[in-house]
Amino acid sequence: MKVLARELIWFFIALILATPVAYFFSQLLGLKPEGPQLTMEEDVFQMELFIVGWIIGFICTYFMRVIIWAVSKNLIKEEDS
Amino acid sequence: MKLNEFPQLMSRAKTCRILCLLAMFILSGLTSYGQVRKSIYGAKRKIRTEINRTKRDFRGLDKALSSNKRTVDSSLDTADVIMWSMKPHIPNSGMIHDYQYVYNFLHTQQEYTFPLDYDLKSIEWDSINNLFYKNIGGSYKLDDNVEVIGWHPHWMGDAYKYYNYKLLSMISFYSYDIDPYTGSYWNPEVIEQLRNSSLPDSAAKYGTKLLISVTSLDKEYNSIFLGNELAQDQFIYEILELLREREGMFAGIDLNFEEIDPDNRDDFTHFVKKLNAQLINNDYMLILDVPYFNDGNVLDYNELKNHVVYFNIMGYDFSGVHSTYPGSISPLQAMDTQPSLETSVNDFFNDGIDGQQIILSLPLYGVTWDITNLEKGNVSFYEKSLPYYQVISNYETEYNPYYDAFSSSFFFVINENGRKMMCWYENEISLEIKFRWAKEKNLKGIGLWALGYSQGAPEIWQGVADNFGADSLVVISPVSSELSGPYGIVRDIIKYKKVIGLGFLVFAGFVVLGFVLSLKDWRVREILFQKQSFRVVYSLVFITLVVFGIQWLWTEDHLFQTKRNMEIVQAEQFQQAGELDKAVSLYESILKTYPAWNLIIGIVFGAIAVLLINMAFTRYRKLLK
Repeated sequence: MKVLARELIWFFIALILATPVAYFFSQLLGLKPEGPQLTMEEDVFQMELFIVGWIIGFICTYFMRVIIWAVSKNLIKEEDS
Repeated sequence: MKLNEFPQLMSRAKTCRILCLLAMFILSGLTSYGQVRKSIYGAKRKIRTEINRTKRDFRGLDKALSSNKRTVDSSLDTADVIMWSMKPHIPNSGMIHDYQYVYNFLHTQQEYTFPLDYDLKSIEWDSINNLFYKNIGGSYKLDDNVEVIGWHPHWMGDAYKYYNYKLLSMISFYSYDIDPYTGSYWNPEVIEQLRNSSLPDSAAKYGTKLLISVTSLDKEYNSIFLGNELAQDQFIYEILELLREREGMFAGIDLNFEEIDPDNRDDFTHFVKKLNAQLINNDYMLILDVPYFNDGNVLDYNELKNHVVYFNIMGYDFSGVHSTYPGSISPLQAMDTQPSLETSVNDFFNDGIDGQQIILSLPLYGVTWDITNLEKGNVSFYEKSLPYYQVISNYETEYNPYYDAFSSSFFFVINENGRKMMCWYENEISLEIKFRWAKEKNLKGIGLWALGYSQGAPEIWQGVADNFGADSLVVISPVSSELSGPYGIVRDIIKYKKVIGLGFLVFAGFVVLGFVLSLKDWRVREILFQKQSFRVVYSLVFITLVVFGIQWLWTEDHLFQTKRNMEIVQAEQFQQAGELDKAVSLYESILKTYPAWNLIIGIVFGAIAVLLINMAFTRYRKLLK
């Protein structure tokens, strides 16, 4: 039950955390349109890149957890030994 | 060294020398082989590089001169639209160009939809400018800004089946002959012919506007009709009924009143006004046929120009049955006192009528005179009028035409059964001159009296195509374009992004609310806030949110700042073009509109708030517990 609660919290955190990550991701890409106005394709593409950034943010949250877990495992092992 | 060892030594030395020579030979052989091999490999590499470079150049050239083409197959393309799938277009700059590997990964195909026109042979794609061209092939099409009108006289029967509709913007059925006493028509057989004709269908197929010519050519009858309001009302009623019979097939009428008495000047203007008002109410147009010379100032052009779409100058019959001597039927220029096309059109200009309201009609017939006794001082006689094809078939095989540079018309001098004849006519050269002249005068277009008289002579229509035709490649825009992959769903997300964003905000708000409510338990508060590391994380998150929020509120286009980026691109373009003033003012405007210090304000605000929260928590920790 505790595992489920923890995972639920992490899931929501990942969902929310992914949003600013996506925002900064698309900001750092420095998206510029070809002409003076944004075409439909460009409009869609920048939203796709935002979604890509969001997915990266979501995955990276879990990746961060894996890193935390791996580091702690290693450190605890060293201390134990 | 012993003597007996000498031969042995000599033999060893010889062997050594041979071995050395052999070694040197092998070495030199190997060296030269290595050099040869190196040079061969070098040459091979050079050739390979050259081949690759050539291939690359060819690919570039192929891309530049893209032969991307979508041919219309009438057996397969039966729908109203034509679809064309191709690799997605990558622009020469911009975000799609910069991240094209992502773009190509997400979208492998792009499907364009185009309207399928009757004249569409193929669509060609200019890959450099990403423009599509409609290729209408060898067949021609008129320029959209010109009018070419042709008359189909009822006596030409079903010749309309063979007309060149692609080069006719309007075609007029000739004619509804007004009965001046009643306003009805007095040629029912002709009207019946129109009713049963497939001319409207043929015209509609090619988008040619169909008109009905309304004629009243007798002076006395004109006076009767123009003085009879009831007959006029009846005529308007009947013509509207006739136009409505073939719903959407007719575009209006072409009014041809000749020999109007000067006394009926105002009556005619009044009639045209009344007729036009009724036609406009029913979405029909009115074209007024006018003579080349406004004899007696019978037509009040200043008033009429407000009530007709076009004036059609009947630029023929300058010389004919009414003439006492032979001459050009349609002279471009004439002697001082004589009318010509030039004087005719200039008269209109002098009346303040714009060239774009004028159509100049030219003849597709010739007129023959008997000039046998002309040289003896006697008069010549009008003999007959012949359609163009008869002039050509009768005379061109035996006689050479003469060109009259003054009138820009041609004539034959014919000896027939002891008589001397003269035939004035217009051919492809003289018509070409007059077409060009009409264009130079900025007239709206030309008319041809009458269709069928040329029997579709290609040389005549070639002139029409050359002067009034559109380019064979016409820019066409797709009705829609659809990318493969997530394009459709992302487009929907953009469409409903406000709703989705608000939904996400509500969701995040409730998550935060849940978190805040969980703080009601002092043990949770204690666990979450007692550790300094936790506090650092909360503080960072808080500061980030404050920065994010301030930036959000500050800028107009919140998410991507593309508006700001676009302005930067524009400023760079100004800079490159040497328009420094514009560039500087735009940069200043960008700095003013999108200041960078919103980040600093966000951080400062966030840090102060975090400090206050932490101080408050530290101070009231026990109280909170």
